[in-house]
Amino acid sequence: MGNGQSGMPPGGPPGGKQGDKKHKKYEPPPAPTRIGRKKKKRGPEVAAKLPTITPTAKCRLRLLKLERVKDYLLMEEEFVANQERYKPREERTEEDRLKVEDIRGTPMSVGTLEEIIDDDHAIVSSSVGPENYVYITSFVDKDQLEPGSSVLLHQKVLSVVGMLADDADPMVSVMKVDKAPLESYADIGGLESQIQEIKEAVELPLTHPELYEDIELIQKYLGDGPKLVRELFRVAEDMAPSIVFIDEIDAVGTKRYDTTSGGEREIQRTMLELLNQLDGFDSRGDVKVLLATNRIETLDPALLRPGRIDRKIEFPLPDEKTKRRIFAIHTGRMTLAHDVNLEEFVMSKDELSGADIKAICTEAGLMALRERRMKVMHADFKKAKESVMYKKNQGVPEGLYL
Amino acid sequence: MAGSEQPDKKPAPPPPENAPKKAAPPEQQDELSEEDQALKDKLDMLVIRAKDVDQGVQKLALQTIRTEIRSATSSMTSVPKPLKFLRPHFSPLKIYYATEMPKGDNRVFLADILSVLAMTMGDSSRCESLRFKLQGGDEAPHLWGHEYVRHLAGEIASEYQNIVEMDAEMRDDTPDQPNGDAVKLPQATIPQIMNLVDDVVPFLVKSNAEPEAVDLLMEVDSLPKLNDLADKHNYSRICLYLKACADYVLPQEDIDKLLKIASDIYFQVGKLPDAMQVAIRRADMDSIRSIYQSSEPKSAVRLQLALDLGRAGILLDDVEKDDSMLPAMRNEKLTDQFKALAKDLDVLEPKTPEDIYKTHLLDARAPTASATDSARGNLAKTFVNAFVNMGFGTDKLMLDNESRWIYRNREHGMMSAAASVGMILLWDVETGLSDIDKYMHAEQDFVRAGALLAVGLVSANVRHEVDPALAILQEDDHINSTKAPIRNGAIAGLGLAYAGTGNETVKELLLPILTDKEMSADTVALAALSLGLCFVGTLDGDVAIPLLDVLSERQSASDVTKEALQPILLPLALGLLYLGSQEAAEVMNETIAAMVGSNTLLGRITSITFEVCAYCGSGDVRKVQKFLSICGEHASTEENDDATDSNSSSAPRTSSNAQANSPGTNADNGDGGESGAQEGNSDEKPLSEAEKAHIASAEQAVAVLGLAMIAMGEELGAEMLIRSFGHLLQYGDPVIRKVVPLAIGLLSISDPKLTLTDMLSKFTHDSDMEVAQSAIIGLGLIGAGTNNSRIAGILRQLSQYYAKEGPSLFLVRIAQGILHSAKGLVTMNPFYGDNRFLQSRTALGGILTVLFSCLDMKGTILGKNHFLLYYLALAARPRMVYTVDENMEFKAATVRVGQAVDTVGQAGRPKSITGFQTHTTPVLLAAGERSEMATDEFVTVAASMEGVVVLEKNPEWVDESGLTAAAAAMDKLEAEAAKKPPQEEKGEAAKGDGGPSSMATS
Repeated sequence: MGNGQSGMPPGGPPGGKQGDKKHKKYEPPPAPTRIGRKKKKRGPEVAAKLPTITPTAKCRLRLLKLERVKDYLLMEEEFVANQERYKPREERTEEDRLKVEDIRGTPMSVGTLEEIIDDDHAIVSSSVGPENYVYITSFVDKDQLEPGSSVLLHQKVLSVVGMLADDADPMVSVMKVDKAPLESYADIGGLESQIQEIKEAVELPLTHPELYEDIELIQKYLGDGPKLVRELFRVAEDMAPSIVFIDEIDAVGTKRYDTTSGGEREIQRTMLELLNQLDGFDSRGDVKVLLATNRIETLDPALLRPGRIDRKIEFPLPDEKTKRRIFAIHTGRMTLAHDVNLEEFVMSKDELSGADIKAICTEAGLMALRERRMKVMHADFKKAKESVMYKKNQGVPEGLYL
Repeated sequence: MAGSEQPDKKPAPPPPENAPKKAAPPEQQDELSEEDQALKDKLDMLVIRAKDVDQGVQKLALQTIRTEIRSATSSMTSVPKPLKFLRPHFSPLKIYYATEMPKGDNRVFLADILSVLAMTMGDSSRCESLRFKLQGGDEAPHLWGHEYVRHLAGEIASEYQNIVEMDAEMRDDTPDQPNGDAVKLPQATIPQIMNLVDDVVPFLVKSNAEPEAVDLLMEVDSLPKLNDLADKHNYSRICLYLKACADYVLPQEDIDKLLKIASDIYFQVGKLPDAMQVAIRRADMDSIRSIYQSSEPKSAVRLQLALDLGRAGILLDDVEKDDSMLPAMRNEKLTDQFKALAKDLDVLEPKTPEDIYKTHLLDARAPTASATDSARGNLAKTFVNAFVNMGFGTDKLMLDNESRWIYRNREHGMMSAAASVGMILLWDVETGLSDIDKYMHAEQDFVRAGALLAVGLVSANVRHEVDPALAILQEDDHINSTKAPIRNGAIAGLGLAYAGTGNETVKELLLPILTDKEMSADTVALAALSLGLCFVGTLDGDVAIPLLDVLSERQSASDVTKEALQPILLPLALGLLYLGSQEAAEVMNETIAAMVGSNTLLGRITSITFEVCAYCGSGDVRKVQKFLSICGEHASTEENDDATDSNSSSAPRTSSNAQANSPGTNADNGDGGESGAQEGNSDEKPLSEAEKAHIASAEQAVAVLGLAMIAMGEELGAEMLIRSFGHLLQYGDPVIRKVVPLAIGLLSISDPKLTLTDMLSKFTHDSDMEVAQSAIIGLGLIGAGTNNSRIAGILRQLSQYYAKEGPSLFLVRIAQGILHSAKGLVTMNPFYGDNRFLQSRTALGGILTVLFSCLDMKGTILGKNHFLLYYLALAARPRMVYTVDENMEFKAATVRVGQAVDTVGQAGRPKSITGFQTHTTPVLLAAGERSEMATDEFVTVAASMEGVVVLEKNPEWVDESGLTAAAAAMDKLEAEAAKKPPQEEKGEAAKGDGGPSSMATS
């Protein structure tokens, strides 16, 4: 909101003028400004946040409270609309903007902020030259400055005149699922009880929070580096309601043991941070955490403790019925020859996982394609199964562990 | 729907044709597992049988369908299977029901089933579920499951609404679809609905869904039924919910209805203090009396009630004659309790202004305020000293005979200095009066005036059997003194001492002064203020009419700015008289326009001040809207069309508001009155542009404060208003920027939220000096009595920044004083009781006096009338939990203090505080904190654990040690290593008789 001086109409109260004159004589240090992103959670942004409404259960009180908030928002809208009609905002800000642009000068150059010395000064380095001790212009949002960020520099005096927004955590943003996946529960064969459990543990708390008033759901996560874990949870919180999904949690969640290896320690530190985040997480936060592993026995007991993980949903190898459905799903888009008897595979004694079945189907399809056939034969499936099972069992030379 | 289910009706599977392909098409059927398919087939068959001509077969089929539906154990995640499969049959069954089916048991039976089916597929606008239910049997609805009951409840509410709306019209089922397949069902009648409600509500209450039960009863307007349903297990949840709703329901009568029920339920289950709390909120003296009288004499409960009444400033000396209770009701022990608290926290040692300024922490190189005495510097020290040592009875400036501090002040400064003795001795009438006595006979008029003010201050919020303050102040050479300062001191003293009491003698004393035309404007203004405070919120006509007369007589002279108090305090006095009266004040509003006029400064200010005061704490959004639009006007260029423009644009909004909240009736009243006033204005003598601008800006200033006053009654509004203030600051005229910091100070008084601190801190460096000055005061107010170190730091830096500017520096000092009020042991928040449930009008009156004075700092605080700052003492209250036994003797207990959690509408016994720490009483409570008993040894009878709380020994509690000697030894041990024994005991108690004891604590 800039201190708003420029918004003041001229000829304010006489007291103001007098004050201005006196200020010029001496400029004592202003209250220290905090620099850096840490502050992000406070200030006007938070003030602009809407209050949380309790109770979370659907009831008339909640409705009334939400209506009250809506009323205020409508009034704000009305007020702002009237004011804009009175004097459009663009008009008022245009002048300020021109002024700022004037000060910035053109062209500008880009540099890196190396260190912040005090409220008004910093050390910057540009791609070409050495490091410089420069002035930070007052209109730069100091909340966003932090060492390492890219800043705009004045062409001649190299003072910081702006900053380039790079939304900081590329590592985390990669993890965001921007588009909702198209798969639905209908695409999953069998596993009905597991689907039920997932719905109860993940979806319902987000859609029917009132049912979960007193139940603490568990959350957890995997990543590399404790900082990343923190960042991740922060982003998740910002984007709530959200689901954090960490696959292969055993990568960080293995049992702790004495180690001298720096790498191992890093992993353990990461896990500790994860434990921390899981504990610290507010049960009412709309962030759900899902962890997946197929080696639950190797996980650290601390991770599995109730309170951190509320529900453990086991996905066993598919049973026959499920296998049949999975085959049906994966062969759904294939043209099958009449001789194909999927029952044979369904009933076989081999341990087939869903992924195996998919691999078999794909492999069989490929074989048919290889031979330029339009239909997939039973023989294709047989061969495909053999090769898949071979890879599964023999991916590692068996003799190695004998 | 009718069209779509025809093809579905033949489930004859076409898969055989597609079978050879074994490809995509089978998927549809594959969705159904074998069991599902079997179930579907079975249901299909049953439906056909249900239409059978044979009554026996039909009955069996229907029974089987019922069993299927009821036994479906599906979770919330999906529609139960049977319902899903019956979906296609719903419409045919409906038609069958309406046309072919013979009357009889089976038809009733089918209606029941259709009612359940309608839950998932019926047309909810026609309330089919409900209507079929009414055709059906008398079975309790809950046999069909909770979800069905909820659905039914929803339809009951909407059907009831329909009936009420078309009451006058014919009971015509107009919304029926024209396509013929829809079955005409008669609309429900009120008695039918009520019967059903009587079925549903007890079930909801029984199954821990109290909020739903209350909601339903609210919808059908029969809340009194709750009285029979509440018992000692569920009353707290029901009442909590009712109380929370009261803040958001709109017509005022509805609020009162809700609260009345809550009060009755509390009374019914024997929770008298809670019932009393609600009765106080309703300001229903009859209930208050009857609740009080129903308590057992000399019991702990009675003592608690007396204390609660004392807190609310209600004295029932006609009911209570017992000398052991009356002191509690008079707050007589307040000073002792406060000092005990101070002793416990080890802060008895008086503090000097230098201890607060902490100049040694400042940058030594920067220039500091000149060390030499300046009149203003000394005055600032006087105030800081007064605020910091408030209520402690000792200090190092005033009561120290050596320092002769009073003589280092001049004229009005002397008055404030003498009055500061009253602040230091706050609440301590006995010793206070004797200490003040030495100033009563001073030579200087100003000292004597100050002494009279001090007499008023020591008696603020405390009553005394023989009313010594009244005796002193009404002496002829005080109240009727020919010397203006002395007279003013006595008048102001009366106002402070008898604020909120409605004392008749005060009225008799002050009315002649008010109406005396010879009196100076300041004197009249003070008399008016004192009357306003004394009769705050009483709507007393004896005071209101003379006040109006005075206002109309003096309006022409009031544009002279020499007499600074009049244009502020006269309107405020009238406002205080009607504080929070809401709709009851509407009539008066028109009288003001007629009598005081609407084209003078005083008239307009009176009008708007009156309105903001009347709706103070109501949270009424319609008023917020009105004042926001006043703030949105721009005086300098305002044209008539602009005004009408904003008015017309607000009209549709208002109606949408009303619709959102309730069928509000007088939504447009306010706006209409306003525009009427404006028109009347233009008819009369035209005002110059400058005058108009002046009036408009004065009006806006009050409107901004008014926004805060209205919204502060309820949390959401308070939070949302802060957002709106952002817009005001961005678009508003300078005068709005000036008042917003003050409004924030009011909105969040004694609650230094970080965001607000930052916001105000930014404005303290504003280039507009007036904005900066009010931001400084605002900072002081949000930190009032908290010792908040962040604000202290900001103010310290400001003292350096403004070192060369007398007025600003003075305000920084004042803010420092307010921040450290009573060394951080008090709160100035006028709201108390859990979650802003109750408000103290006296406290509000005090704060408003100071804030309205701040609208014109030059004329008041920075001028000669700085003594107005002392009115903050009316709002100051120790922010403590002080536990006493039934004899009013202090009784130490361990309590947990933590951040309050909103538990309204939650099932079970949710935690009410979070992040708590365990302390031994007395303890301090910060804003937003709550406390609860940590052990079962004592139980509290208080409704909310704040202020003075009476403890009772828990009869269920078992003392392990048994023997008295052992117990004594134990006590000693406890005192030393406080932790272990209580924990063990607690564990034992919980193990032994957890049930009853936990019940008792609640």
